[in-house]
Amino acid sequence: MSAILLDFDIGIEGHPYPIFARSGWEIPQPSQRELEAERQPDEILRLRTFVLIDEMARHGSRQVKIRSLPKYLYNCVGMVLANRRAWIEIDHIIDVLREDGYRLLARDQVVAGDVVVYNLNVAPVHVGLVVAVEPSFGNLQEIRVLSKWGLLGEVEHRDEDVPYHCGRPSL
Amino acid sequence: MTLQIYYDEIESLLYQANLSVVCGMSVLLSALETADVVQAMIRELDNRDSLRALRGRIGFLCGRATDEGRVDYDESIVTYLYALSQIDPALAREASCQIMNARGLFWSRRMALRILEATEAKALPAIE
Repeated sequence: MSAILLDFDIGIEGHPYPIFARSGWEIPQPSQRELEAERQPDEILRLRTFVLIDEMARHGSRQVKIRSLPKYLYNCVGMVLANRRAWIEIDHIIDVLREDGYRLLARDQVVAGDVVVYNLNVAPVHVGLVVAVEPSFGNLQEIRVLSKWGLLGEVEHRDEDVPYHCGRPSL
Repeated sequence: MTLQIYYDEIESLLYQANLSVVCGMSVLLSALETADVVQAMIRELDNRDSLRALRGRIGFLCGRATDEGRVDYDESIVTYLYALSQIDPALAREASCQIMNARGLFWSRRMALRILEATEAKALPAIE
């Protein structure tokens, strides 16, 4: 079975293709000129990710797995809300979620497919997609998240196991 | 005082890896504003020699291209550019021009572009 790979590239006059929230609001994106960059080679992305995972392991984080090292430029918001087709600044995440009709959940209501917003000093700094919710010790749940770590790859991890600059889950 | 102790940390793999996970310019700026090593280095930029040394360090890293012509010190370079921009906008603009001609940089290019566009905006005559 063959698949068609949709390549995200320049849209009109140097601007990325417009993306709209469900409400019709156009989601702001950086200009193409801002996003011109060569992708780092796989070995550099992998090495940096392993360095972080190793550092996190020293502080007790486990079961952090590199899922992929994407060829195209997109960030955590682009992964969760634009099908890996865009770099959308994290500043807009709350607006996008509101305009798309998302609602807040308590931790015990979370299921696979839900979105986790991460905060650092009360500001949103990261977002991920819940891929599994598994029973843990006592009545606790372990929430597994897939998220794009900036310019690095997509990583599967417990919701709390992210690098410092990805903040803490707001669950 | 030499800036070498700051170069050693800011050009380390761990520093670069930590900064490479930010997913927005505001997060990057916040990270740089609150990083102890960055603020300590900025405090050392209190004379012309230090400023020119830091400007030279950006040039040095931009010149260390790989065999494929790519520069691999994006997070370090953007840190230095940020520090320069806090003290000496003219040197920051000069460094920004060099950065725009280097391959393999993302955050450095974005910050350089902002610095250069801010300069262009100031240079435009006021519309009366």
